[in-house]
Amino acid sequence: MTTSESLVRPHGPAYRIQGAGRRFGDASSPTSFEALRDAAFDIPSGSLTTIAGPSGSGKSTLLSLLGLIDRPTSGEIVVDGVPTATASDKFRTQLRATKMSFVFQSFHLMSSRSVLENVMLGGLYSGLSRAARMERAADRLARVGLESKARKTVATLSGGEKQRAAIARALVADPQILLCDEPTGNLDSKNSGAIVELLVELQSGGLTLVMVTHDPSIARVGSVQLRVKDGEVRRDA
Amino acid sequence: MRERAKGISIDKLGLVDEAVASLAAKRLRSVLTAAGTVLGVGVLITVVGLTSTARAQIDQRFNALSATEVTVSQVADPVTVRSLAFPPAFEQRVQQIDGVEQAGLVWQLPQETSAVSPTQVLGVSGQRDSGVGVMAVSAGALNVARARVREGKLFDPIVDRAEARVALIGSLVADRYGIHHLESSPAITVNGTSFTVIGVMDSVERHSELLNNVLVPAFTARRLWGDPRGSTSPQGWVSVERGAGQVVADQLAHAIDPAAPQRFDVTPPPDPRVLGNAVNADITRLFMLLAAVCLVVGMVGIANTTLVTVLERTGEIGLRRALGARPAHIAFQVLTEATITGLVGGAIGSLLGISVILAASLSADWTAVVPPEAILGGPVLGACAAVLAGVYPSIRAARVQPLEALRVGT
Repeated sequence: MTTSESLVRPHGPAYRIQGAGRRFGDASSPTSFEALRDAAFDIPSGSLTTIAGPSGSGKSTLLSLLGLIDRPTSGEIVVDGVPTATASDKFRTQLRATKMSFVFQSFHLMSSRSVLENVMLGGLYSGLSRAARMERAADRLARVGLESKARKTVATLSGGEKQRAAIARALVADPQILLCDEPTGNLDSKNSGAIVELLVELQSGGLTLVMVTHDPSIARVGSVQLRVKDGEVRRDA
Repeated sequence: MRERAKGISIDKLGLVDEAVASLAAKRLRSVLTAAGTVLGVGVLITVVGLTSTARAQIDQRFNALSATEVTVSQVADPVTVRSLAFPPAFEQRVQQIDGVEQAGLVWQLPQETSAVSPTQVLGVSGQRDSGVGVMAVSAGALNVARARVREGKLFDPIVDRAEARVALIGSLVADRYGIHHLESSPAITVNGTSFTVIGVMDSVERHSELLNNVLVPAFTARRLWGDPRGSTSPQGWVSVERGAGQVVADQLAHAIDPAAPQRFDVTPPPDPRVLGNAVNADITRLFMLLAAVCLVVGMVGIANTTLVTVLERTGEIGLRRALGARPAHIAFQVLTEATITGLVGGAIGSLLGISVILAASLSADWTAVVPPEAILGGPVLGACAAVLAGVYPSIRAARVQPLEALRVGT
């Protein structure tokens, strides 16, 4: 981490995307593919932003760039006032650990371990002690309605419960930003509605929530609605 | 307000917890991974323990046999070459030395005087046989050699001093001459003199050459063919108590002939420690090489299983990276898992090795010797081997990018 790499308190937007693009492969190669090009938009702090678009449009690529688990090949992504495109891996990892968290479509839970252990993992790399992680995990499980399942193994949970456990894990480190990649993609309509309701409720507490979805009805819940098509990002509202 | 981003202090115990929980969650995989260490360390402990046990056993054997015999030979002297330096009372004189158990004289008769042919044996013609030698032995020499007869009896001092025309043969010589029973008083002719066979020996604990010769009493041989001469230098065999070899050897020449001790060349028994150590060094080297091969094979097994595990856990590792784990955290966890696996595998391997040593010693009626450093070192060795084996997989794991979490399931 260099001296210019510093965290900034959120007086401005949570994200400022400045001409960001992502190309896979060498530009001179015929197999080169530009998944995202010249994206420019802001995501206000505390907003609920949805990113919609058809499969292969570049939604997940955009989410990966926002989550700092991939780097743009052009442009800049400013997180909470901090430019990140050329920042060191260590600094970007630290930002991930302290400022943001993820909810994935396929849950990414360790099926042979208990729900509590899975949720506690969310705070391990942000520097929390074991006792603090355990206390917070119990609290977050209660918030998502899974306190009675804490000692169960993940394999015994239903799909909706697994996504609730994943959300609880994402909240353990008290992130400012929650990035959700198709969080209802593997759920039926009833569970989808419940998960969206839970996320909206959490966001109302001041969390910046970015949610990728291919479901237009879910996309409409966003206060900021982005649409991605053929690698181009457009703001709907 | 701006603030510097300080490095996050990770709860190292939390990472260890994660390693233990990961191992516990996949018990079968963990057991299979540890199997390599169990085998490697188990074989190593077994080899070290059995080598130590065998060393103690070899020492006992050397002490029991090689270290309890002193030989004395007559120095070749051009003046006295035709006379026997050993006095008739050799055995009595030597047995006065503390520590001496038995003593006796023996010499090989020259070929030209020892033409042997079986006579009075049914079905066997009296042809000369140059393939069987003749030895003159005293009764005491047979006791030193711990000879046992299959049939008949050994010489005793009375027979010896009576200059009787009797002979002893080994079982191989008896078979060669077709002498199966002694009831018919079979005889063997040596240079024209007939000797009645009074015993057939089936074993000796020392000097196995006795079994391949026709043995005649020393006094008889001297009466018939004179003192030993030429290349047939006589030897005195003296059996001693354990630990008395060197002391007896120092006194022997003076005890035999105080007036001319220089006529005797005394050979003390080999130092059992020197001989034993030389043999043990060879055995240990061989066994340690075998154990090292086993340990390396075990390490390759651990490395292979750990690498496969890392590849299987790409999604989980990607998730951890997405949640803020640095490559060092991932490498630390993989190495910790390998270390715990090696430690437990080494401990189990040590227990197995000790069990094998005890079982082997019990079945062979040996005293089990297990070096304490082998017991304590087994788990440590297992852990070290596992850490070495885990280095490459941990590097591979640390290289997994967080983007993998979005592509692969856990």
